[in-house]
Amino acid sequence: MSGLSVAILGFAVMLGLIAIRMPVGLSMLVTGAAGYVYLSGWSPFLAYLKTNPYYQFANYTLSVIPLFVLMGAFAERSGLATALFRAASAFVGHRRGGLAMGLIGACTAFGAICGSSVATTATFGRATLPEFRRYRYDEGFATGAIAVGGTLGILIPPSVILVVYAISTEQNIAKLFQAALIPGLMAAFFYCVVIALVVSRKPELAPRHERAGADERWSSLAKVWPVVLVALVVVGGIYGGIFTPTEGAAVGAVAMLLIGLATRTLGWTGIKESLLQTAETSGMIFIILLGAEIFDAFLALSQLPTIAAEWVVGLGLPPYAVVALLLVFYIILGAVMDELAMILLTLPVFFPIVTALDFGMTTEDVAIWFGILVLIVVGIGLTAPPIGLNVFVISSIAKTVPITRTYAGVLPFIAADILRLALVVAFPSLALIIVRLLN
Amino acid sequence: MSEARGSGTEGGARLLLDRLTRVVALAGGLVSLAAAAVVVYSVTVRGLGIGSVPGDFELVQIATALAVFSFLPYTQARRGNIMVDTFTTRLPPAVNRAIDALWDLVYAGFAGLIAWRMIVGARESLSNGLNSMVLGIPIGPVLLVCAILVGVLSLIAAWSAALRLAAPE
Repeated sequence: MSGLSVAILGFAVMLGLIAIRMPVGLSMLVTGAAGYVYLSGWSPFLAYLKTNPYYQFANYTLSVIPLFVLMGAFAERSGLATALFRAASAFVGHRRGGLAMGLIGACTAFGAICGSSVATTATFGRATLPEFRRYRYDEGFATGAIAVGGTLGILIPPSVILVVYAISTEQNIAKLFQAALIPGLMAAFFYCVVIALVVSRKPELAPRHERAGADERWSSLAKVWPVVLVALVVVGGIYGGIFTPTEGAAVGAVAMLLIGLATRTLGWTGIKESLLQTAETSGMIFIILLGAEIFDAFLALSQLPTIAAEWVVGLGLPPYAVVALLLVFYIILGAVMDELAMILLTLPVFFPIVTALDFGMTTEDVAIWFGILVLIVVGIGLTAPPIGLNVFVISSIAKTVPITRTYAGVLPFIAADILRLALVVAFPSLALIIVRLLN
Repeated sequence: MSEARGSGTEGGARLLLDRLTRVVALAGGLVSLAAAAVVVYSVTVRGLGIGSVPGDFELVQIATALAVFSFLPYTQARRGNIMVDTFTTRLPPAVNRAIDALWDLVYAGFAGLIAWRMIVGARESLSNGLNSMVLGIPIGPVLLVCAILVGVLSLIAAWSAALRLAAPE
């Protein structure tokens, strides 16, 4: 068999194994290893395993993942999500749908200290559902808004998905974080517009309640300023090149720990839970990273990525049409597959294709722009039926709300995401302008 | 939740599994936190212009590897690895349990293979005295600890296969 047919067979076998419940990381490890051995023999593979798994993890850039997860975990245990939600809804909660808009605002702020959408969804699900129920919001509307708000955890930098993209494609994390800012804020704004439109058509979804007094507003703000400060220092420091993403993540994690200790919201139990949550989430991510590393080594041996890139460029399709096709493919695949595995598996093939096309931009600009597009489709995949991880997370918290009602609540937001995706495709400068201003 | 269900020895076995992986994961988490503290110190002294911590990135690299390898058994014990059960929800639970146990065993085998190769790699690094570039930290012992952690992962995966078959959840 030629390298190309082995690679295609490898993809098929891997997807088949995933369909019969094999953990995603393991199926990448197993098929990647089998393909590697088939193409180059046992002894190179056995030699590869001697130190490669170690050096894969002993990686300065990758260290941001556990550190960002830890920062988010400390923030979650310190009750900061609740404080952010109270503060945001003290200002806008009295408007129709205001509680949902407050949620989006709080998720946006939390997104600046948390890089994971699942963690953001779980945190806000636990913190805000009782409030939504207290004010008699429609449950599907509320859970839908929480699932969508959770995606702001990755859409607003820092973002685990962007770190993984940066490592997989050897791009600069800081620049990707910069590029994500405007599209991320656009997401928050679009979600609020969707909320306003939905509740204006169906006012019964979101009953109004009384306006918070000035005292309540100021006291709620007093509780959140430390988070806002940490978020500004971490994101601002990375943007300004004052420190590396790893340093930013370390500063953020230690600062959140100190704030938790100082405000006595974080004790030994909370610290222990945060560390264990970090362990579980990071373990889950890193086994997929290791699987992707071995699968990529196999793909590189098979030369599939190079051949595919040459073939697509040879077709002479308009570059934007190729990007549009890839994004449609991602939206479909993301609806049924884990997003992290999806991007790690496809980038070795798609990235050379995209960077080989001529968009009239530098290769680095194309790489950064495509990273932001991938981030947006990942966000869609996290909430879109039938398999939206964020929806599963909120369903496991709001057990009485049927999952179909959450999906119904999510749909208008997905329309807004697709509009936003189209805008960033059509106007790459929405992503690139901040990068250009800061560099 | 990872509470022990099952009864008698099975419940006890699950509890022990949870405890052991939890202690290892916590140790790894503390290593991560310690690395973060070193980085914060380094950033602070650099910011104040009173020197720098040379090679702090090497400490971060080593700490990340140690931490991640110590997280893997915990993630396995918690069944935290991502899998897709969309296509198999209609199968009888016993069949799904048997499939899951099979994949646990495959994972155990693969981790065993990696552990064996890493021990070989560690012995080579020990005998040729491989050190990190800036701080001169010997890499062999670090590799050895990581290899042992992968060995633990292999045992835990085999153990969880046995638990799946023995104690229905």
